[in-house]
Parts: sequence; structure tokens; C-alpha cells
Amino acid sequence: MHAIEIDRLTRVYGSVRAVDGVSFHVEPGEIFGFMGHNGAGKTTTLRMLLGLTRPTSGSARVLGHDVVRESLEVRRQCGFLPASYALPAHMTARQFLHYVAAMFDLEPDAAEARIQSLLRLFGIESAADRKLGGFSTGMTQKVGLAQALINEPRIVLLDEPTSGLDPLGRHELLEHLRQLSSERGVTVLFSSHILSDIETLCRRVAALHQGRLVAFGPIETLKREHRSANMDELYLSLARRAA
Amino acid sequence: MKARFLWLDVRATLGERKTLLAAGLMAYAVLIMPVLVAKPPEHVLSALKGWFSTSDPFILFLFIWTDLAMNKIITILGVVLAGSLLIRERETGQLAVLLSKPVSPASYFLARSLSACAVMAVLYIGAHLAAAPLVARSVPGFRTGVFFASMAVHLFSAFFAVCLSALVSVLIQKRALAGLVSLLVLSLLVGLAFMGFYNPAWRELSFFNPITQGISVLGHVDDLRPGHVLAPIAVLLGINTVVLALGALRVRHLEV
Repeated sequence: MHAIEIDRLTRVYGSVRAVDGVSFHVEPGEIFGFMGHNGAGKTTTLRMLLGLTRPTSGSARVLGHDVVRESLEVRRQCGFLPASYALPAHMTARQFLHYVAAMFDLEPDAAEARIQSLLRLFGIESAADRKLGGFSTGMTQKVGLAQALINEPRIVLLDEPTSGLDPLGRHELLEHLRQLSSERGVTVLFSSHILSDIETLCRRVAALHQGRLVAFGPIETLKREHRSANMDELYLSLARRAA
Repeated sequence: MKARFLWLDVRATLGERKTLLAAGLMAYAVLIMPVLVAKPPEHVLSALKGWFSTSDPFILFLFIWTDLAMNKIITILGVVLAGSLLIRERETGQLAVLLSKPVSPASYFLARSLSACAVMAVLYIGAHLAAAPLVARSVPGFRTGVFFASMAVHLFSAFFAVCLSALVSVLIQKRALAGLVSLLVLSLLVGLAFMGFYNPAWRELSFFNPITQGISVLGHVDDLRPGHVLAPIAVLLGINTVVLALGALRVRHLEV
């Protein structure tokens, strides 16, 4: 069974086809790159996978669960970090993580243990009892990641997770994701328009251009097929061909 | 409904700046009351004589406290606590984070609305516990039991203010407009609340006004029975349930 299976998924807003008949699948335990320029339809696809946005047509299954009919079960087993978000400024990091843990019905003791380990993992223990309103972008992103992992998800959907991070923060994040995949077998759907991040992290990718899937497969194979030396060339070649 | 989530939400809301503002409003009402009751405005005295045919200082106090203080405060607090429910979360991007958890939009709406009601209850009950001993000394013939019975019913009107603001928020989905509409509707209901007192012909019509239900004990101060308290509470519970159900229905297919 594929971890994520998308079949002719489409979402139309008025006259705009934000996602247009997209099909691909992600294998369990892999870090899968989902690339495309801003507005290509990546965010809409991720939101449809979580049942936050309803598909106009087509279907998708996450760990075998239909994303429309069984969206709560999908969300129970997934972690999600949106591209642009804020965390409640009046809560401390610890309070917020407990708040999220309660949404998963985690027992308070189990939640505290989990929160403690996540705070340690992301190196934000010392800031755990500070209000989120005073956090830097990098610190906020770490809390954002911690909330996405609070339920020990089998799949993590990350939408532009490295945007706004400094080089060190970016490096740390990519390391965390590699560990998640290799040590815990977590499937990561890594959506980004930063092609170097995708190349660093992923073996297989899907590329969207104006809502349509323009490529899907191993990066090396795609590079060979399109005679591209690097990801930038590959993406430009795909985009030009689609246009 | 996840009880722990609800509890954590109440705790978090209690720590918000808007709750401190609300607590400040309540505190102001409590502190100003002995001064106001000592020298009530002329037009209030004359209205009271006309409506209740009495100059009993306790009834005078109860009227001033209920209408001039609490009715106005619950109107503002309802909007402050629930007037931007889901709108603010959506604007800041918090909604995508929160609704990516195994909680449906309807459950989230209900939890947040009930949490706002709980915060209203904390502030409301706190204000009354502080006001009772303070006012008892300055109002001759102060009847503690009647005071708390009357305000227990009125608390459910306060819940209505929260529930209505939450409903309007998800119906309109624009922060300023939703707040304004809630404020106007609640002010209108407060303005019409005493209609049945000064014109008995309109009493049946006022039955459908939740604020009138909330002040109904004022008409039974001298012959108060359990039914005078329980019946309006039951009516208000019914109204509030319907209002929340409408809100939940509105958001059940909410997209983020």
C-alpha cells in the first residue's frame, strides 16, 4: 500500500483550475519532494490531502483512508506544517503543545513526556515557558514542527518549511527530517519551491506547474531524461515544456 | 467533545488581553455600583415607579445592576469574547494548524464557543460574588437569595450574547462587520428587554427576546418561586443550543 495515493485530483476555484488532474503516489518511509513555483497548486494539494479543502473531482488516499470521507482519521495519523501561519501569541510554547496534544486525546502525562522530548529534539527547552508572541521566525518554525510531530505521525506534510529560516536553521531542519525518515520510518511530503532543499533531501519528486503535474519520478531519472545538470535546469526545462 | 481541550482553551482565553479588558469592565461595574445606588438618576427612579410600582431600594438596585450595568456589559463582552471566532484564527493562519488535527470544524466551533461561555461565567460569577457583600452594606433590605437567583437567570442571557456573537462571526466572516452586527443586534434586544414591563400587552412578544428572559426574575421579586428561575433558564438553554447548532451547521464544511 502506498503511503499517499493521489488519483486525478482536481480543485477548481471559479474559472481557475488550482489543481488539475494530478496523480502520483508516495511510498512509506520516503522523503518525497513536491516542487513547483508559488501558486503552482502545491498548498491546495496538501490541504486536500488533509481534508481541509474539498476536491472538485478525483480522489486521494492517505494510509488507505479516503481524504474526504475519512479526513479525521487521516489527520489523526498525519502531521502538518502550513506555509504561512502564526501561533497563538498569548500562549507559551509548552501550553500550545499541550493544547494541540489535547486535540489528539493524549493523556496529560503522555503529552508532557512527548512535549519534553520534542522540546529537547528542537533545542527549545529553555524557551518552553516563554510566550510565543516573542519568538523569532526560526523558533516559531521549531514549535510549528514540534506541533506537527506531537502525535508521532506516520506521515508529515510540510509546506515550504524552510522559507524564512536562516542557513543554520535550514540545515538543522533538513537533518531532523532525515532522522525522522531513517530512524522512525516517517513518510515526509516535502513541498517547496527551493529546489536545492529538495535535491538535498529527496530521491523522488513530483513537479507541479500551473496546477498540472509536469513530472513525477526519481530526480536522477528526470535529470537524465531532460538532460539537466541540476535541479534549476530540470525545473526550467519542465516549466518550458509545460508552457 | 474533548474535555481537556476545552479546559485548556478556557485557561488560555483567561490569559488573553481581551479577557483582562473584560475583567476590567466587570470590576468597574462592581466598584461604581454603591455610588450609583446611593444617588440614582431621576429618570431611572421615575421609570422604576412606573414599571414596578415601587420605590423599594433593593428593586431599584436590582434594576440598575441588571439593566444599566450587566445588560450593557454582556453585550460588549459577548462581542469581545466570541465576536471574531474563527475569523481571527483564519486571518493569522492558526486555523490551518488547528484544523489539521482530528477535530472537525463544527467541533472546534462548539469547543471555542463553550470556552467563551465558560470565561463569561468566570467573569460574571466573580463580579457577582464581589458585588454582593459590597452592595449589601449600602442597599437597605438587600436580599441575597433573590439577587443571586435573578442573576443566575441573567447569566444565561450572557451566554446568549456569546453564542449569538459566535454565530454572527461565522456567518459574516469579517471581523469588524461581524462585531458591529452582533453589537447592534444585542443592543436592540437589550433596548427592547423591558418592553413587557412598561406595556403588558407586549409581554408575550418579549417572550422571544432572550434578554427579557434573562431579566424576568425582576417581575417576581416579591413572590419568587423555583419556576420563575428554572423556566427562563430552560428557555435560554434551548435558544442557546439552537444558536450554537446553527453556527456548527454553518462551519461544518468550512475550508481552510
